[in-house]
Amino acid sequence: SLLFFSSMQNISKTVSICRNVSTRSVSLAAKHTLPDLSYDYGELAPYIGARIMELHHSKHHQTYVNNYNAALDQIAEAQEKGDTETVAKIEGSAVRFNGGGHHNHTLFWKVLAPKKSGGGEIPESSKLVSDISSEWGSVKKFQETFNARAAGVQGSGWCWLIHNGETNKLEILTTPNQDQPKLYVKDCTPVLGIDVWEHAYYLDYENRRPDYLKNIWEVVNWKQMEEFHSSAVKE
Amino acid sequence: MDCLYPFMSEKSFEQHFHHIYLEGYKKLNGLVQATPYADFGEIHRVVHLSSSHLGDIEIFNAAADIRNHQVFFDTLVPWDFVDPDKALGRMTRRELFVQFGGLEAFKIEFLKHAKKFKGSGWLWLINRNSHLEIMSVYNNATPEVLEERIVPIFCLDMWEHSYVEDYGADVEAYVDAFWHSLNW
Repeated sequence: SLLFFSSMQNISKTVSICRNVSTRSVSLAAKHTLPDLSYDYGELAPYIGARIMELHHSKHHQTYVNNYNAALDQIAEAQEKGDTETVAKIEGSAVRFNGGGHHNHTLFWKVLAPKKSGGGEIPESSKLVSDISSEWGSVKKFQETFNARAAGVQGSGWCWLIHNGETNKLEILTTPNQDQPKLYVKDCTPVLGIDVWEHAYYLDYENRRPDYLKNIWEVVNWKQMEEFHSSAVKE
Repeated sequence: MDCLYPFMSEKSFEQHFHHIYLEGYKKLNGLVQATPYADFGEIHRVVHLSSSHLGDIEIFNAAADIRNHQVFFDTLVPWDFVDPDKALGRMTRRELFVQFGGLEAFKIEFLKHAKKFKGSGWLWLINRNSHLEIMSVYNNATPEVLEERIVPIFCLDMWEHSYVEDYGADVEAYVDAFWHSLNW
């Protein structure tokens, strides 16, 4: 049987199924879709090349979306049967991984921007910059600390700048695989997330992760970071 | 050196074998200088001893990474150089049948593990208590230190550096190609 998805743009409900589908009724709930980038694949070069961007967005992120949706379908099926054990198992594994992958990458595309759109431009005065300076002494010291933590991630994972809602302070956090920061800091808002999986940099940098980290700051979207930060800060 | 083509392109081999695997030896040599490990002739001995000393975790990570790569590269041959139909003996075939339902069923099961793999690591075929088993290990873990009775047989490097250049995100194509370059 063939499961047919209509346009992948910003619609939340999928189209239904063709005739030969088997037993289960398929009221597919709102599905996750691959978000569009607000820039072309080549526009972050030479810091992140077009080949990486295309692979990363159209293949890696798309796979997380597909697997996330499949996991949610499996959960819906299990819920119908009252099989709470299977629900918990899928949530703890496939949803944690693929849902995390989808949400993490969705944020990642937003915190990057081409130079012509302000990528790499640190605002002269901003709440975020002043909070970063209070915490780490200067933006430069913060970047060095962030990069050291990111370089130290074993295997696959992410390095984050988060706003901790409980302490009302900024923190650097690393997470393994596709774990989202909220798994570790319950009340937090990610301000910046940098992907340190090999697929994020290997084609341009081989295993020289520190070089990738040095260069990615040239296309970090400080305006977006500011928005995330100001939505979280408690006065 | 393109003899692993098309499983691994010349570019990927150059990066993987020379820049990652062989560089790993240099890194380990640096770490074990002036330690008892420096006199150990073989990598797997460094792996075993450092695995039980928490303070030697950096040495363990470097050594285990080399060990995994060592087994991986040592069991690769040029494309279709070894025919599993001729190479696999009766006992192995029987064991594959009992554990998985045969060689083809084993490959399907192995692929399932590869597609479910969540992160960086290594996908192994091991022998545990006389039974064949597929085992996923993450980051720099290596099966032979996990339990006394594990005998490692072969592994597939699931770190993305092994396949992203030639296969992008297509793990299935990578695994399919692997069977053609495995020294059965």
